[in-house]
Amino acid sequence: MILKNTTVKRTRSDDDNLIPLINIVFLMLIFFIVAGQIQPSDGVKIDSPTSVSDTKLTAERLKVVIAEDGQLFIDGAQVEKDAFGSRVSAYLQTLTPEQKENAAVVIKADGNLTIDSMQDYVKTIKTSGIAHISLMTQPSEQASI
Amino acid sequence: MLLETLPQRRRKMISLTPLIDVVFILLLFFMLSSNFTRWHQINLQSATSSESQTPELRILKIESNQGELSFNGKRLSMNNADSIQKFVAENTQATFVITVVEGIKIQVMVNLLDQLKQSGATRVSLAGLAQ
Repeated sequence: MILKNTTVKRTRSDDDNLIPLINIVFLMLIFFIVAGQIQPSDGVKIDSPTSVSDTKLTAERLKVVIAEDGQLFIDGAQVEKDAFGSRVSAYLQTLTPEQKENAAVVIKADGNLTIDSMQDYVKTIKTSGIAHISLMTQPSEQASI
Repeated sequence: MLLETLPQRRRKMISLTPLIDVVFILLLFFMLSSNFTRWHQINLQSATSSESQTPELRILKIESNQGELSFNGKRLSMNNADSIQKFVAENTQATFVITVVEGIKIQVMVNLLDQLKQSGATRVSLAGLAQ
């Protein structure tokens, strides 16, 4: 009788120690699932310009990534400068006529990129007929504090 | 004897270690792949309809990455917040057009845009390289 009692107690106490741990791990798991967003990687490190702009990012759009050295990435793959125009028109062709009117391009450019190297791309997008062009920014540290 | 086997069976059923393993792997995955940056955007397209309504266009030119500006030959500096504020206060309803010389970084242009807007300018447009 005594022997049986001790075994029950030991197994119980083992699980009891684990349950608070699992509670915390589950809590962290749920926090990261809910609060974090999983985004496909850009293919290159981008230090976006900081701004106090509070315009929300357009949901449906083509994202064009321009690195500090002028390299161009779309959907995580590098695109040659000459092929950019055809890439944009290919994107337009995947849209329905109604979507085309609201077609948007978001440029995620490095803050240290010069404007003259970005402007060629903006012109290409404009000539392809997309009116909504925007620049992706991140909130500055001053604004968040 | 029967009583003794009962708690042993229960112990086997619970076995939490594999569960914790999986949960930890999930946790690691979400911790490493989550992104907490709240992205915003600045619209680059020029407002065509509103431009005709405002008679005054104030074309600011960014001259250097250190924040030197010029407006009709007058020199201004982005580092001098008061002078920018005074400049905007002269006519907050005007359309401020930001042009740049070659080699200006995007961050500098965005900073000026923020500064103008914070000083009270309502219409700011980005014109890119000065012709």
